[in-house]
Amino acid sequence: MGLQSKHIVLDLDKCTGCRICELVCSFYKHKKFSPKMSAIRVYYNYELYRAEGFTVCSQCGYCVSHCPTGALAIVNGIVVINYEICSGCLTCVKTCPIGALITVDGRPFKCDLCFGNPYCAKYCTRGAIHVS
Amino acid sequence: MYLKGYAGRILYIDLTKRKYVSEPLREDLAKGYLGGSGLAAYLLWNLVNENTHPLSPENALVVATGPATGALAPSSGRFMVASKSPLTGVWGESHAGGSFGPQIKYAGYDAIVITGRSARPVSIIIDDDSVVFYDSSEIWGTNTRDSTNHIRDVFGKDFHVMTIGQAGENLVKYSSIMVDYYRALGRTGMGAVMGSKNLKAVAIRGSKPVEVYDPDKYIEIMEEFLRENTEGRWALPAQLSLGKYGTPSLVTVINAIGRLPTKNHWTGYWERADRISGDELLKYRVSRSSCFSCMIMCKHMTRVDGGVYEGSMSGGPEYETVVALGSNLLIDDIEAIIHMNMLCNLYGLDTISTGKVVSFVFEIYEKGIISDSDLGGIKPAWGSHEAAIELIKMITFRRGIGNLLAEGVARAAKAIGRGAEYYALHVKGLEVSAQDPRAQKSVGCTWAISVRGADHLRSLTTVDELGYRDIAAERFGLDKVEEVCDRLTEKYKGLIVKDQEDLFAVVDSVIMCKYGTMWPPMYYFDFIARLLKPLTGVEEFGDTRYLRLLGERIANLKRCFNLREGVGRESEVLPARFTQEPMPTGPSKGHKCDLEPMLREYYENRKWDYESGLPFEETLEDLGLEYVARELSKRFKLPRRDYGNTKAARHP
Ligand code: SF4
Ligand code: SF4
Repeated sequence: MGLQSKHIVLDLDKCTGCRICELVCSFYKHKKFSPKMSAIRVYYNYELYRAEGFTVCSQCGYCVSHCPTGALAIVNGIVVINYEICSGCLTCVKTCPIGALITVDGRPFKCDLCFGNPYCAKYCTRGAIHVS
Repeated sequence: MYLKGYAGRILYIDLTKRKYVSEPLREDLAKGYLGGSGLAAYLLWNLVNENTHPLSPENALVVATGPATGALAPSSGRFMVASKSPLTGVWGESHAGGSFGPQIKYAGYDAIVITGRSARPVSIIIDDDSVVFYDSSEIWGTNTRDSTNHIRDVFGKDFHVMTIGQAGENLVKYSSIMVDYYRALGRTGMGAVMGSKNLKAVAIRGSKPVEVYDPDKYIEIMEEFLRENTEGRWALPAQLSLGKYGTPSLVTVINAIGRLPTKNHWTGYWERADRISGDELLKYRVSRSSCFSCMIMCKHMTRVDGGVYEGSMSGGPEYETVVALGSNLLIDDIEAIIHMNMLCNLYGLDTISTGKVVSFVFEIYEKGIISDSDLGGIKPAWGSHEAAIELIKMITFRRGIGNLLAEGVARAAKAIGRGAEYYALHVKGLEVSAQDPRAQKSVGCTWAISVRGADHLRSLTTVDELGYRDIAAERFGLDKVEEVCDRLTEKYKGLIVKDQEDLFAVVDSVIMCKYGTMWPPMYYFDFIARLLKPLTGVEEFGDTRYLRLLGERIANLKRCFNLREGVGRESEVLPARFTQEPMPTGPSKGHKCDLEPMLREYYENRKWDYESGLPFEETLEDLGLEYVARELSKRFKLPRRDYGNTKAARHP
């Protein structure tokens, strides 16, 4: 649990800011292209040509204990949302300590590591993304 | 709107009235002109005419994306602007990479049309549906970095910004628009169009998604795109050249074939080229970047630490800049080139035109056409970066002779007279790019026919430059391979230049990068067709023949735009240096460019009449450009071609 859990990591030194990871994530998860609908977000400095940070779920599980409906659970170390139960109250979005959960079409959305097959990592030709 | 891929709206902004309105993108326009350059051509044909002065409020600045923009397609981060050019008076168009273009799409627009003139300096801030006119008197007079920083400080770091510097404000005819600091909408003076409208900057941010017609099919194409870029035939060569060095990797390659413009294009070979090579620049590279949605990642940032030019830092310099401000001026001090690139980016000057204006001054001074009294203390001499830097400043602020030079090399040479015109290297008023038609004959045809003037981006063939025999065979037939792949023969160059012009018309409308389509030649009509159909749902886009037709339609429309301005066949000439002076040194020594046979072949393939320089009426009819034919008929008697009267007979 916590820091031991598997999650996506981005190597800022390797990233060139192509944002393909964001596009791929939104597309595989929502069938649409939108950096705003991506579970991973890169903060790129266009003046210095440098990635300065990124946000993606660390699978810490903090949200799980705060979900009033019990829609969040940890499955094989991955925090997943059961949309059958989720009431859309967005408590998780508000409580996530690193802002990794976002709202897409009124529902919470987060990285689920693509269940062991992370598309963002596959498409990052710089090799900047891996599971750690 | 049932067309996917597109945002589905065009935003019209009138700066005079400070009003804006967004209208649906007509489906027939998307289908008939794709987007980007094609859509801009249609819009501008209707928005302006031969009486519109390029710097008047009536001229329109079209900012456009294509269906691929923001949709993960290969190298699709680019966008374009088009307007009547203040430099050439004809079709003006410029493209830039980076991440600005996709934001236009995400904000909900395929294109933005800006007309009018603000009474005071203003910037336009677009945040999805909201459009704000932001008083910019405070930043008028600042360079592009300060202006970009100001807008981002006030409105937020996630805004993407295109802005002009002092050159655009001062209506320098080849001023650029700088996008997110280092991406240039460089050519044809689009910066001056913004300046004439008192428009300092446009900033944009969007939050809407781009939808796809057939996601499952589209994913397949994207997987293929990924494979192509990681393990395909061109993956390694692209990484070892563009990836590692960016475009300056070309310097050495091009010098080796004797095509590296040196000393105001006097020759095509420079013994000192290794001092301005990709390897040299690599020593100054501080970081590497990529356009939105691109796996080639050719963009670099350089910085000088120590020496006279300590602290100079900017995106690039790119190949064209290294040549224009380097070998073209016999400047082998790479730090000075980095510095000049930075200055041009900060002031908002097109580095290509600027370099060729400076080399013009150097040469006419050397030839005694101008003297010290004309120059206010500058000592032009080959290799003098001090003089070049001073000229860049004089041009930007229109000081002394800079005021005349700011008009471009064609107007300046005419005003100076005394034989200066011979050394003014331009076509249609656009200063020549970093190729040489003597060392690659097709370039002569490309420059001559290009709608924006001596330009390498409306059609530049690489099959002959690099001798890709298999690709030449595939595209033009086995019987033509020998001549097609021989860069030093004129034969078949009219054919391949026309083919590439059509391809670029589509690529510039879709919009994808020339890297991936020109070099490496990975993507051709067939790939684009396979990509566009599942993306948009437009059945016709999946048909390669239809895409070729669109390429021809767009290329024809832009040529007709110029014809309406009265600029046609007579403007398709090369500077005598390339047709009369044999290449004096290097691997292409002894060669001249014989333009006429290539032009004839080009006209033949374009289905235009070489003698009159006009399109056959049937050509325009076949391309669905009847409205263009009608308008041109008011001015010219369009020739008819006698090959049967029905479409069916013409296209068996
Ligand atoms: S795909 Fe890789 S290089 Fe591109 S933005 Fe994401 S992490 Fe950076
Ligand atoms: S692992 Fe999957 S869900 Fe998580 S950020 Fe990457 S693409 Fe998105």
